[in-house]
Amino acid sequence: MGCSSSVPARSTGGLNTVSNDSSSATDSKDLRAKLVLLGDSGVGKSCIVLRFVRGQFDPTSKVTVGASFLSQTLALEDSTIVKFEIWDTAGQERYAALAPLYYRGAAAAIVVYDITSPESFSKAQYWVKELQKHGSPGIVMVLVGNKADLHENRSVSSQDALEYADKNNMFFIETSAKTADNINQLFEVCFEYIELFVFKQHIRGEANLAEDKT
Amino acid sequence: MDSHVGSGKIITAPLITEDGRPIKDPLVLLEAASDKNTSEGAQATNRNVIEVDESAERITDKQIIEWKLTLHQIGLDVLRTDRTMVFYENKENLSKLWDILAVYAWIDKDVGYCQGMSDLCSPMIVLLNDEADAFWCFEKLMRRLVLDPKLHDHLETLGGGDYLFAFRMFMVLFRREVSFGDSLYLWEWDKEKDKDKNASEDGEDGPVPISVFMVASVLKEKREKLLQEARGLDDLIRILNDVNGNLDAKKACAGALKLHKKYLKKVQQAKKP
Repeated sequence: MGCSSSVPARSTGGLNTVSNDSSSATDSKDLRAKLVLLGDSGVGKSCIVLRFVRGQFDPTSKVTVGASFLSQTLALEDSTIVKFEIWDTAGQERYAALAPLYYRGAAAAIVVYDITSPESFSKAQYWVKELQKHGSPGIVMVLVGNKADLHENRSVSSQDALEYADKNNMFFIETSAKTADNINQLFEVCFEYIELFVFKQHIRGEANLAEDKT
Repeated sequence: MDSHVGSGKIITAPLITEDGRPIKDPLVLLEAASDKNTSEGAQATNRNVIEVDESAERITDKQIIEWKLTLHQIGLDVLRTDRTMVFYENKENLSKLWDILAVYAWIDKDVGYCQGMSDLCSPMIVLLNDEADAFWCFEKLMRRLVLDPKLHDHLETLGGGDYLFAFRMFMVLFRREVSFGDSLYLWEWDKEKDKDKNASEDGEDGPVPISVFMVASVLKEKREKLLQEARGLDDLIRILNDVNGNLDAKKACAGALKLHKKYLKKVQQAKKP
């Protein structure tokens, strides 16, 4: 935690570059990204996070009350280190009022549904709309169909979900927290999209600067 | 009410659409009589579309719709409450938990069901054999929580942001912060102390619940960490989230008592002219 004390204004969200205060001068980047998980109750939001952060699957996992927080660092191939700060929210409608607190300033929102539950898919669409209305502009949205291991009971087709995701400029992936399928990929993709967005913003920023000079 | 209550079954998928139309063959998991385990139960049911039962009468009472909509939420949560305990290997106990929460949501429609309540209800069922006894104890506990205006005011004056950190501890009355056994100890202790306090002091405002001091003592414990590391609300919540499951009940009680004494002293001093 020590190295992050020099980072100002963390509430601005998006991706923050953490200054390297270690003496070893490397060209690796340390990045930080705030993520939030949203979705209907019982679709496996906490299990996805737990699988990613601890590599575990707990079939007796507890109900999330309010929200919980976990962080995990991911080392990418180009020696970039990303620290994910993951906010895992409670699924019950009651807690929906608290959600803005968690998705505010998030670089990416992971909207989860359960492939065996059509209700959870409509709930995911509700969250997408909510984020489009109230989320930070340019927030990266990923649609996740979880419980892919239960494909025998599938009731939301991949095709439908993919079409919906495309229409809403989202990335789509099916995962299984139970078998660990696609869990790491999910977070890597998340990062790629965030980076893409930040990169775009960066260019825009420079363009503005150029305009100012002329 | 609903025929599922008291049937030994647990509902885990909606019974009804939001506009009050009953759904055909709702996913009913787990009959107490069968010893199918839950995941097998889920796999046995294959449901591709939500089918509205046209023959059944549409429900128009908003409150009843609301209640029916919470039933599957309760089911989902019951399956995730204290499931490491041997006690809940017996499916009857799971349906007891579901029944009590469902009935509570029925009689108290303002509160209904809110995630976290299953954590509060579970110890009652573990401790009290009789389902009715467990229900009334739970009801009493809920009344204490909900109708504690003093506590509520106090949290309000702490302000919206600050409210959040205490939120979870109060919500689940420390169930998540400590182990199962410790939480029973804590509740017991909390009740005793509140009784003592009612009998003695605190002046016109009435007693401040001891649980407030409990939260305060946890905060005090984390003081250094909070001062050093918390630069935003998210840090705050994160640090306090870490308290999860590793709080020492006895230590917290001792801390709370100390703070309470200090508080009383201050109150007394303030009273003196």
